[in-house]
Amino acid sequence: MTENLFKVLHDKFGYQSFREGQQEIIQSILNKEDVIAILPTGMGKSLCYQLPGYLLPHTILIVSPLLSLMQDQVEQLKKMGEKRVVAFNSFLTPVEKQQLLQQIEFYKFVFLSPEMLMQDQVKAKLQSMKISLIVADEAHCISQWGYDFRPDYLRVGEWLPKENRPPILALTATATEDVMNDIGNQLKMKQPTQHIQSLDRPNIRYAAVEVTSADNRFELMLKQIEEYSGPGIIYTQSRKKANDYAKKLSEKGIRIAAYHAGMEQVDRMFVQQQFLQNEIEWVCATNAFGMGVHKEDVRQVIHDHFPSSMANYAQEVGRAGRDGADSLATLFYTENDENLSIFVATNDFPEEFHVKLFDEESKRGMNANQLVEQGLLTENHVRILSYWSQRKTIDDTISMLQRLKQQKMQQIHQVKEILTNLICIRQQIVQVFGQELSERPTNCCSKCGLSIDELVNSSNERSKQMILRPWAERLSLLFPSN
Amino acid sequence: MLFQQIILHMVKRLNGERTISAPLHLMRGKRSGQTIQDVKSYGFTKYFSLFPKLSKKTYDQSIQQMIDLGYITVNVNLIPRTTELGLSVLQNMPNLRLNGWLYRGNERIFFQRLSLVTQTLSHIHAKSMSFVPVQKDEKIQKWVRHYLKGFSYQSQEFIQSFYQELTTVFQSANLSDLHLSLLSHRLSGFEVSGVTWQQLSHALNEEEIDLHIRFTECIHIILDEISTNSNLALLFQMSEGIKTSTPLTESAKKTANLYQQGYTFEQISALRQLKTSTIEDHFVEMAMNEPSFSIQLFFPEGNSDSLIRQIGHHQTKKLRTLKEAFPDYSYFQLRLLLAAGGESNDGESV
Repeated sequence: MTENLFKVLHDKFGYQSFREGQQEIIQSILNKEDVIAILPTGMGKSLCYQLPGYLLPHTILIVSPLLSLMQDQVEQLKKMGEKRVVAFNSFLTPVEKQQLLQQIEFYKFVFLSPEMLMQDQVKAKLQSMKISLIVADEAHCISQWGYDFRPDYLRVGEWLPKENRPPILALTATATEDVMNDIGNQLKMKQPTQHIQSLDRPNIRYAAVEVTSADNRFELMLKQIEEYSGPGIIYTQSRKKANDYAKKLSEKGIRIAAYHAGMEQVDRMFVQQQFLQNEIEWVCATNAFGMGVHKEDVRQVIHDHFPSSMANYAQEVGRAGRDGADSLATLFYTENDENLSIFVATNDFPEEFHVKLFDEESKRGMNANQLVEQGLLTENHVRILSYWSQRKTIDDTISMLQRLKQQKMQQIHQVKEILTNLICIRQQIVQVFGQELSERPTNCCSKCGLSIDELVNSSNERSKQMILRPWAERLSLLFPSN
Repeated sequence: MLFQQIILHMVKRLNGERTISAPLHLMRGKRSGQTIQDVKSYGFTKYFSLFPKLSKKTYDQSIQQMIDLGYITVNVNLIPRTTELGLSVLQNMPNLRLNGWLYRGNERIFFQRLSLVTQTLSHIHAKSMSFVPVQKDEKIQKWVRHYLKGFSYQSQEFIQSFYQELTTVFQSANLSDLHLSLLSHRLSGFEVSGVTWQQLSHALNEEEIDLHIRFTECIHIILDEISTNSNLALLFQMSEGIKTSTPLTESAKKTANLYQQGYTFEQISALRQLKTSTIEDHFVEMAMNEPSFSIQLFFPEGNSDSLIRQIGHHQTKKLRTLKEAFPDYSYFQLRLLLAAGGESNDGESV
């Protein structure tokens, strides 16, 4: 069997060896155990169900609450040449959904959003077909103790057959005891085997640097980029800033491109490609960048702001050093940045008077679009309020929104605290996710002491700016030796 | 600059007879009677559907900028006029080889097909079949799959002839160096990434929006070349359904069909349960676009040709002004005359 594992690993995925934890998890799955697996983000979670897919006889069902993540995983499988993969999510038209449902047995990997799982016809179909494994991806969303609780996801437990059900694999990057127990209970798992990896990424070294002004911040960022090598990602808060930094830095001779959701899809793809192929050294992005970018040798991640939660921070810095080599995560901040981050996270959030206005105007027969057009509410307000007005009373909505806003503010405050107090950053990160740090690398973080020169290479001579080529040369690059 | 010049060009020709929204509707390719009539009577076939997704916000910002720069004025009734300064800026406008009326934004679909076919063949050529398609639109992917299956697309001969056609079409007489830079860097393939609009804008030192105009122009030139050059068979097949076969709107097409079957104006209105004014719009559209359609029917005295000539002498397309000069004729009749006589106005002159 083990021999077989390595053969599939090599033939299908092109790897010689497993990453830490993967083999044990897969072994448990093949033994038909229920499994809760905790792996840090970006360390090969999806392989844990993809590989068994080629050894087990029937369909692998993956429930995934994050749409973009789902799309990315489907794309990865397709890129590997796997055709038997399909995603059921809100992007499908009813007709498409019908057609796909009818031939669902054909597919080896079926991805579903939790909402889809609750639809009767989907449920009926799934209960009648043969399934080898059920995967709950981002399983912390099932738990109300998780940082990203999704109520819809809760109901996954209701659907599961009681008798003779296939084994369940719950995957997450959070390890607090509450969350783990909750996942086990909600999914009605039978004495799940727990495979827990350390969530620490020892090769990532953390630095928090206080700056005095926006200009000072840019100078220091530029200095760091000029002195130490990429590939690297700069995370910033707005599309405008992403564009501006990219422009200013490219004028300094740095090969860089902006990336944000306001760009057309083809452009975003071009930036990913250029980054993967080292045609550019840096990407300056909003948090839209990362999903689907599988680059192993990112040496630096720079933040010019406090991200909206420790989970997001961990996710973004986690894009560095997937090859295991030393990497640097630097965050530049001023004292005021906490307020700015709070503003960005909550300024489009409905307040008490928005809730009341929405209610009154709806009663008067005003529709949501009119409210947006007249500038009374934003699209985001309307999206949130339309959803909750069907489900909660006004007072409940108001107090829930206030609670959520408080929570967002606390999460940002936590990020600020962790990065600016005197305690080891690494230790605090793993604590947030419910673990203790067992050992600390030398050059751990800016608070424990950090010598950057020992970590990342100093920057090479800047290669030339990207220059456009004559068209005939471009064409013969596309079709060489013509 | 180019974008502003296009707006200046339209404002000048509109001659204070339309509000500032008219150019926006036109560039978005709005299918309304008014906009479609403006296309012909003011000679705006080039710019129709130039920016199908142009947002009101972006447009308003440009307009504000042009007011601030002193290129145009907009009065309280939202009527724009060019200033002396604006006219001098317009003087330097290059001649654009756009044909928006013919392609109506469909040129985008053609380029999506072209870029996905190129990416696919480039990977096959490199014997590397694993890639993420540059076009995510399922319809485009489906079309390209179907297109490629019509050939032995994995063969070197096929890839060679595709490459040959690309090389040929890149040498179309009317393409400038700028066009070729844009086109070649928006294509991507095996280990060759495309270049973003922002990067192109930095490298070429041109505004992004102007590069979009040039790019659309470039695709129009290529489509023209493909439709006339018999050596471009593969690309010709790729341009299937891109050119508008009938310039009529869907609804006007239905009215035209009924009319051809011999139904009268009143019968069509009753049959389709549409207001008279809507059917009038359809007939105006037909007068504008169908050379075989004669407006004689609506001029029992048989004097439509001379009326068209008379109207041509008036320096206005504004109906109310014309009505004062020709009080015996209805607005509908005047619109028919304008539509039928519009052609001569679509010259190159700025």
